[in-house]
Amino acid sequence: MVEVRQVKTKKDIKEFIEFPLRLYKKCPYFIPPLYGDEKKLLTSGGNTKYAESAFFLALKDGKTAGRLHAIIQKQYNELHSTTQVRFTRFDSIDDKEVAHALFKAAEDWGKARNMKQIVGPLGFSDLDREGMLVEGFEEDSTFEEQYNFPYYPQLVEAYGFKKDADWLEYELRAPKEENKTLARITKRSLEMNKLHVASSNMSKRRYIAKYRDGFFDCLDECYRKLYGTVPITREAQDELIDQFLLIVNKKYLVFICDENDRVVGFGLCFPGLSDALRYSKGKLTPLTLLKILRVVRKPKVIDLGLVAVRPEYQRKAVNAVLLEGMIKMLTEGTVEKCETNLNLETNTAVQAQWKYFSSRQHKRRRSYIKEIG
Amino acid sequence: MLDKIKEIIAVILPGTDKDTLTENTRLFEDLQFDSISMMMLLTELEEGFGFRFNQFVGFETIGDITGYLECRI
Repeated sequence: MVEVRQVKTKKDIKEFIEFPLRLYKKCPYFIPPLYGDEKKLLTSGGNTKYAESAFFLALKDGKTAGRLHAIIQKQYNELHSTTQVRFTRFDSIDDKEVAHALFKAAEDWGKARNMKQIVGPLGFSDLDREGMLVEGFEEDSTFEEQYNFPYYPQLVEAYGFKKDADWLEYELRAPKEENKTLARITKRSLEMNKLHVASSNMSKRRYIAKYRDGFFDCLDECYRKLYGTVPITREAQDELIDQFLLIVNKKYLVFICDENDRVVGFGLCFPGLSDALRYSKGKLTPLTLLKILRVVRKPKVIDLGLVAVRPEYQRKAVNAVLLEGMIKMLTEGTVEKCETNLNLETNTAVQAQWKYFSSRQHKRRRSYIKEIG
Repeated sequence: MLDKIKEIIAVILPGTDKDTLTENTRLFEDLQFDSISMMMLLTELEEGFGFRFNQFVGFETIGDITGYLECRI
């Protein structure tokens, strides 16, 4: 018999965070989120001006057997005239009864708030872990994404969910042959478009502070039409900067600016933290911090975080600047490969860029949808 | 001039059969150009014909290129 209850107590919060750590204890592909970030979210209740949350635990025979986080992203629903409840942080033992009890709880919670569809896995924003892995179960996860066992899609589909959107992921390595033309055209692209790469000859904090508004403005403009995205609020921006400040390396954060120093494009990559965090349970012990700092200084893997060029500069080869930067990363120094993270299946323009690398499409993720109204 | 343009395109897109290219060939639709190939084309045209573009130009067809160069050179 499965019992589902909402997370209310400190003990529930601990159980919610630690259940997947136990479930994936021996799985080498699972990379935990930071324990502190998860605890902060759950302690706050996950409710803001723009979103409402509920966290559920499923118990079978008295033991935790699953968990799920439901979100009503009010901002997204208003912008897109939808009535959707999202699910994320779904984890379960291989048991249909457990999984379905969790989905039903999220559905009922959403229906009580007049929602007509349930979609997921999707977080508060596009910058959260999203998408269920449906291909590539024996590939390393990046820190920015959630691993799941191969039985998860079957649990979801057995409940009546259908595909809503797919994302593809690529592993990029240095091209087999040097592309001298790309380096040459990067310079001309900047000249012809009257753009420049912003100088990072200042402290990391100052560099981020100087271009932060331009970065988020550019991000919102470029991503607003993409599946599942919402503008990032000022509070969320502050949180993101706090979260990622430790691991951001100025070398992998490029701003392309116009003559007025307005950000018209950017590339944000992170040193790949998978190896540093793999068996850490998300806790930043001194040893884990040391591993992270080592990786930040000399990464073997770079995770592509965000890349964007404003629409008015798209189709003008401004992306050559970012691609050339990525190829340099892969051919000079310690970086062996780049993980693109999630590219929407329909975003063929982004995927077309990977032809300048030695590339392998190694993962696929899916967002599911179901009518509930 | 058309022959020289065809040669440049064949360098940018290895494997392209120059004999199939005409003034009506559409760079994006027929040859799968992207903006980077277009920029490669512009830089090769600059070197091949000895001038500089003042701004990015996105040609639609090979005919557009010959028309532009005839005015420019």
